[in-house]
Amino acid sequence: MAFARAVGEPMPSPGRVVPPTFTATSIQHDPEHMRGMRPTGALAVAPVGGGKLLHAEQHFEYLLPVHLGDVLEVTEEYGRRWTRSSKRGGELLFTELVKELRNQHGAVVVRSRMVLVETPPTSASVDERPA
Amino acid sequence: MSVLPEVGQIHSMVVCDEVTRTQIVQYAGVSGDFSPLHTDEPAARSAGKASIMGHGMMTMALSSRVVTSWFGIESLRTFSARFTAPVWPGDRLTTTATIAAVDIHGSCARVQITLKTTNDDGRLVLHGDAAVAIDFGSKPK
Repeated sequence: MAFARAVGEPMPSPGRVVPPTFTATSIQHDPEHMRGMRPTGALAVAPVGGGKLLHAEQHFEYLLPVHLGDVLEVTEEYGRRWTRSSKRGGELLFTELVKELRNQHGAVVVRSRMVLVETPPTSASVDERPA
Repeated sequence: MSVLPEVGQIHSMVVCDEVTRTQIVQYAGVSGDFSPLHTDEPAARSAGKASIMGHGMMTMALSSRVVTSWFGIESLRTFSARFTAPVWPGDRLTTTATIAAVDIHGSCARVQITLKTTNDDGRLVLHGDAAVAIDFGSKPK
């Protein structure tokens, strides 16, 4: 319901198919996430030393519909890592986080791939705009 | 369920009238992504940002509605997005979906869609694509 409110989806009802990006909120089911203000999962790799961690890309593959009430199990692992020179100097470090979600019947319902980019602490912001 | 779309066909909609800090915080609460870049204005400024920015996943969720309102959630097979520029408080977001390809196999069609979400300055904030599967043999039109 809170998800629907935040992104303007219709209110959920039992058995309804969940919105396409809803499963990306699975970190909410990790009891350790944000305990003592410390994130787990992708956000736990936030860079030390003042660099910035941004979400560059997100990919979903839908194999079966996910219905409200389904119980999902997530496995996640790091995928490729690569670097690219930043236009503003320094190196951009890209990291992939690959997730597979299975439902209560053991069937894979969604595969997702998140690409995170870590920007160097010294680079000027590439996205400045007056507020 | 719609009839089969044609290549080049376009659907466009305003997916958010005005992004607000409150909505960004609301999405942080929903997603569990409480990064200071999304929730702490002074911290975002000291990291060189003009203000807090919207989550890419929030923009992706908003943008997805163009596809799901057109073809239904269950038709969706893939959905990808690159977050090409930050979304700021005050932005109005418009998503345009363009049919890039329609491949027919028997009574099934695989439709490739290109998605672009822009702010009112015309800046592209999300560039994505989606694939939907339509079984047009089994359903009345």
